[in-house]
Amino acid sequence: MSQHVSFLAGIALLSALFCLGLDMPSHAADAADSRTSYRAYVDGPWGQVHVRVDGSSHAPTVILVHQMIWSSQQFRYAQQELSARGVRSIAVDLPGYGMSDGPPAPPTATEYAEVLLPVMRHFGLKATNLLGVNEGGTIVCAFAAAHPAMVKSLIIEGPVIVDSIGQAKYFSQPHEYQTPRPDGSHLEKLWRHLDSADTKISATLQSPAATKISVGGMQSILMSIFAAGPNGWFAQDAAYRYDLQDLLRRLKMPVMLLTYRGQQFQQAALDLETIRPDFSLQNLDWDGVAASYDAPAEWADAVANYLKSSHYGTAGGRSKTP
Amino acid sequence: MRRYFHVFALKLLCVSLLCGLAGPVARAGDGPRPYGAYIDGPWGQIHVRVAGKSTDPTVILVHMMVWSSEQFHFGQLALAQRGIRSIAIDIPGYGMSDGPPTLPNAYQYAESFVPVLRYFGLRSANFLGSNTGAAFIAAFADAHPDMVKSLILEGPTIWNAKDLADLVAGEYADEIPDADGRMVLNRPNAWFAHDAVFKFRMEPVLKRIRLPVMILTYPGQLLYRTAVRVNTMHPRFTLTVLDWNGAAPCFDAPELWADAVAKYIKQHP
Repeated sequence: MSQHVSFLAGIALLSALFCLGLDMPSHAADAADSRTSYRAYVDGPWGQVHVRVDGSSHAPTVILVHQMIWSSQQFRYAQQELSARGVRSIAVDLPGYGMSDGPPAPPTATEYAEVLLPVMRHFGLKATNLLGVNEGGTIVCAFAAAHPAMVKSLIIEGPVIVDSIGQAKYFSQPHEYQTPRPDGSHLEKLWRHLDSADTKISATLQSPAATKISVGGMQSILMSIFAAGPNGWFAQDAAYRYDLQDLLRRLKMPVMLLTYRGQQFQQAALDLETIRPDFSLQNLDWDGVAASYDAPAEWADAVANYLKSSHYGTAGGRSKTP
Repeated sequence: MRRYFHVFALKLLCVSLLCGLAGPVARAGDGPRPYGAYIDGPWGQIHVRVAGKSTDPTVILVHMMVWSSEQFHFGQLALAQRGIRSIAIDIPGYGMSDGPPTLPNAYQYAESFVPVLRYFGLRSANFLGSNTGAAFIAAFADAHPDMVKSLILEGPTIWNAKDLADLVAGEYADEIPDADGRMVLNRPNAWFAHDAVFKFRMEPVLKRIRLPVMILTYPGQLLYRTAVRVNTMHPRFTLTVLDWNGAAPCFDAPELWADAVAKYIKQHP
C-alpha cells in the first residue's frame, strides 16, 4: 500500500513539475538556458515584447533599450561585443517597435518603462543594470524612478534634455508616416532624410561634428521605421514630454553618461556635470551618431568596463577625452 | 494519515494531469490575439506567427521568396475568423529565423518543419506553400507523407528549361545596402532558398504524392499557367482559381484567399 502511495505521489509530483515547466515558458527556463545568443518573446502589458539575448546567463547582465525610431537591431553588433567581454545583454524591442506588439494609444515614458518588469521577471532578475539610448535613456530613467530597488546602475547614452525651443520645435512638426507610394519614392525620401543628418531638434544641442551613420545603419533604421508604422512617433513623444532633467537631479543609483562627439545629445551629457558631478562620464572618441552600431567594440569596452567595476563609477571614472 | 496522503496524492495527480493536458495548449495560445514564437531548429531559431484557436484545424503556411511570414499577416487573421488556426513559418534565413551557414537543398529546408510540428504537438498537419514555399512543402510531403494531411500548392514551381535558365541568371545579386539606398535587404544569402527551389524537381514529386492536393491559383499569379497545366496532368488534384489579378491575394485580398483555403482545410481537419 505504502509503495502504491509513494508511486502515485511520485507520478503526481513529476506531472506537476512537467506541467509547471510547460506553463512557464520563461524565467526559470531562461535563467538556466545554456544558449548564449537567441531571441524570445515575453508577455507584456500590450501583447508580446520581443527581446534579443546574447551572453551567458551567469554573466553580469544589462538590459538595452534602443533609441527612436529603431529597434533592438541597434545593438546587433554591440551585443556580440558585450558577450565577448563577459557581459550578458538583453536588448528589448520597445512596444510598437521591432517585433513587439504596440500600445493602442500613446503611453507616457513611465508607462513604457513598466514593460521592463515582465522582461526582468522572465529572466529571473530582481535587479539589473539598464542602458538606454536617447529616448531609451529616458525610459530606463523613468523605470529607475518608479523601481529604484530593481536597478543596479544606469547607463544613459544621450540624455534627452531638450530646452523649450527644442521642445516647441519638436511638437510643431507633424507626425509624418512614410505612407507607401506606388513608385516607391517614400523609400528614397526617407533614405535621403536619414543621410542628410538633419535630424537635430534644437540648435543649442547640436554637436559640431558632421554626424553620420553607416549605410547599414541607415538601412536598419529605415526598416525599423516602416515596421513601426503610423504610430512610430509614440515613444518619441513620450520622451519629449518627460522632464528628465528634474529626475536626474534626484536619482540615487550609480549612473554613467556615455557620449561621443557625434551623439545628438552630447552637450546635454557634458552639461550635467554641474548638477551631478558624481555621475561617471565616458566620452568616446567617435564622430558617428550610433556608436553601438558602427563602433561596437569601443562602445562595448566602455559599457563592459563600467559594469564590471566593483563600485560603479570608480573604474569608469570621468573620462573627458575628446 | 496514510489515507489522507493517498487522497492528497490522487488530487495532486488529477490537477497535474489536467495542467499537463492544458499546458501545451495554453502555451500554444488560445487567445484571439496572434502571437509570435521561436522554436529551436536545425540552424538556430525558427520564428513563427500563430493565429487562431489551438483546437481548430491547423494549416502550416510557408511563404514565397523573398518575403517572410509577414506575407500572411492579413491572411492569418482572415483564416482565424473562419475557424482555422494557422502557423506561418519564417523559412530559415528569412524574417526572424536564423539562416543556414551554407546552401541547403529543398529537402533540407523542409526538415525545419519537423521541430515546428513537434513544438505544437502535431503529428500531422495541412500545409500551404506559396511559390518557393510550395516547393518546400512538396519536398516535406515527399520525405514525411505521414506528417501531412493535405497540401495546398499556391504556385507549383515548375519551369521549362529556358525560363529556369533566365531565373537562375537573374537571382544571384547580393542585396547588400548601397550608399544610395537602392537595396532594402541586408541578407546577402537571400538567394539561398531560390537556389534550392531552382534545383528542386517538383514534377516527379507530384507524381509520387498520394496525399490530397489543392492547386490554388489566380490570373495574377506568376505561375498561373503552370498551375492550370499541372492540374490537367494530375486530375485527382483539386483546382481552385480565384478571381484575382494581383500577385499576392493572401496579403491584398485576404478574405477571398481565406475563403478558399478554409473551405479546403475543413475537408481535412
